[in-house]
Amino acid sequence: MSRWRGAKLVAGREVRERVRTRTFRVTTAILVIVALAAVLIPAAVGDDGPARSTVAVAGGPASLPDALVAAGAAQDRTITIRRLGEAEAARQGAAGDVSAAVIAGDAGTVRVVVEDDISDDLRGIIAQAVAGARVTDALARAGLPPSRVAEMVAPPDLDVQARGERAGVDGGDLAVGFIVALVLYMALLFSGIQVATGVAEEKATRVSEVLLASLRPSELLLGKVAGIGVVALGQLAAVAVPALIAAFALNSVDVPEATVGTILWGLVWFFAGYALYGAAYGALGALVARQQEVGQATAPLALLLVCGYLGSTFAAADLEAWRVRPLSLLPPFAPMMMPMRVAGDAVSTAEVLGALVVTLVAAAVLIVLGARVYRAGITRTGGTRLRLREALMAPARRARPAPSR
Amino acid sequence: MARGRMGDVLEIRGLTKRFGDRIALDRLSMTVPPGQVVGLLGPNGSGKTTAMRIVFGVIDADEGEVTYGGGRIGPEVRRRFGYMPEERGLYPDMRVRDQLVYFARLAGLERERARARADALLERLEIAERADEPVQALSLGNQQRVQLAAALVHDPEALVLDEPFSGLDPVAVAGLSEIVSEAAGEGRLVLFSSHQLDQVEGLCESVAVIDHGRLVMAGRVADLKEASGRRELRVDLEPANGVPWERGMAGVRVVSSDAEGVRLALDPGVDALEVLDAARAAGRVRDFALEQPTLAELFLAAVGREAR
Repeated sequence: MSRWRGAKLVAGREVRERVRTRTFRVTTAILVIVALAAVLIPAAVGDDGPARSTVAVAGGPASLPDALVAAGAAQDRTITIRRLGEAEAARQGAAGDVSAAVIAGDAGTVRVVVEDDISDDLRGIIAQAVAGARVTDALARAGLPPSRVAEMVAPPDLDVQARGERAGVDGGDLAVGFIVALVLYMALLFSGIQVATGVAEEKATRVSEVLLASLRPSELLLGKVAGIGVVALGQLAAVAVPALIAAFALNSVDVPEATVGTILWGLVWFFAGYALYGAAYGALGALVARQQEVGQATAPLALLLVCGYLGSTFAAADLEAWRVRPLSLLPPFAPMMMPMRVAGDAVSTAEVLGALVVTLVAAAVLIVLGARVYRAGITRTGGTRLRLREALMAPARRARPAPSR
Repeated sequence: MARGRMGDVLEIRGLTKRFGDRIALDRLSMTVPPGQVVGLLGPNGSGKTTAMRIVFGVIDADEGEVTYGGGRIGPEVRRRFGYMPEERGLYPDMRVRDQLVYFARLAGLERERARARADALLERLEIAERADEPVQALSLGNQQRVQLAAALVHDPEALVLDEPFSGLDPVAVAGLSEIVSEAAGEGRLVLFSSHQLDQVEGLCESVAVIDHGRLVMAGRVADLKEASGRRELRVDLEPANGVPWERGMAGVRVVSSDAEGVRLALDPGVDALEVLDAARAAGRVRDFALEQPTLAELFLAAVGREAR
């Protein structure tokens, strides 16, 4: 039997048995519902949140309302105008019915009535609009055609050319990187624990002893890791795809530029990171005497995952920090840190590919070492937990001839 | 199926295994021919499971070797064996039929053949109606049947069964024994272990009995009993007077005295009928029997402990 056939059968069983369970179906359904709700509820409730304001206007130049709307638009804020009498404007401003009431006096004074406080944004918009309206009025009175006036006072489209430390880093892109890193961290942690628990279960039920009659330890480990990985990836897709489709259909999210690239790289890094961590979790799972010890035995791996996740938050805070680059090249951390650097466009493709190769090589080495630990661990039942050191030192193959007598 | 090599002999030579300072197996040797049921017997902790696990390649011996048909047991050969570990050896959540098909496919069977074999075995073991239930929903007896089916599903040429009967009621033991005998009758090599010597006495044709990792006795059961020269006379007597008739006869030793009557061990040369006459003189004999010693009694005698 070829090596791949055995691993394929093992992986196939993992997929079938996991997908078949009620727990899996219920969890997936809940996750899909939660993800859809996260997209649909804000869209349904709608929000006139911070990017919309209603401003009451009393008195002042005729062009003031238009000037307010134009100044608001320049700041990405939609301004709705209510033309009111002075008293009513003041009342609504004070009552908070409008974001602000702009009351222009005869002598060119401007009073702004608000309920509690006024945001810096809105203050700037009003100041700009009032100043602009005065100029417009003055120019119109001087005989300039209104269209020409409008053209002159319209806020120009500024071509911003930044050249600073965080040049070109978009907050939205970083958010995408952060979400991908978080999802990778959780997916690696959960699927890793599943691998370790599955291995420990096979050991506790002695199924492993039966399996080892037909399979090499490496086939068994590879098949188990692959099967659980396929299920995890499938679950991830089942959750993400409907949510993304809903989001695009409703146009309810601003999709940052880096989204597609980061998600694709995230999938690649899930594959690499999972090969690495899956092998390690499988090996450590084989060391325990009882299934309940899995958490304790695999705690060092959880710690590494947390460090990788924290590393990605360092990177989010400052992509150019000196520690970000070397950490992101280390196999245990790369799967979570690289997507963040990719999202922030702070890394060359060659560097990502280099880190990927290093991680995959480390994963291959871990599968070989893991299979060795696995065989030593599986065959030591009862009693206490096998120490990693002992397992690594155990002879790989039985090959001792009988002493001649 | 690789049935061509059926008929090979399993040879265990000088197996020694230490766990730290404790010697689990001490130069154990035995031969398992095909076509008969061979028991590896001994009390708990005598090293049976260690020996079975070495035979099956789960652990390595420190010294000694196990050969099959004169050669080492490599992965290819091991795939033609059926193995049942001491406890469970099944996925608790997996459905019975799925489990059997999976094991058959791992052993190299194609899907259709694996399904056919699994269904046939479930039918034969009378658990076909439980085929779609998870193993853990079955009674202990039925779980053992599934285990046995898992060991048999790929039509192996040898069966290695570690404590297949432990924890089972007599009916279940009888049912499983029948299947094990049948497997041997088809020419398979069958080696099983048990700590319940009396329970499996009728099942095995030959035995190897071990204690503290060392072989105590081995051979065909009938030969062992014959060679021991021991006979036991059981007499259930309604005494006419209270005189202890059984005491003081030369070459006669009281093994036990209980509700079933008196058990007397007779030395070679003692005429059983004379002893029976002595009993009849003492009262009315309700029942009597001249019996060979049980395996357990032979074992206890061999390790220097008295029976009961």
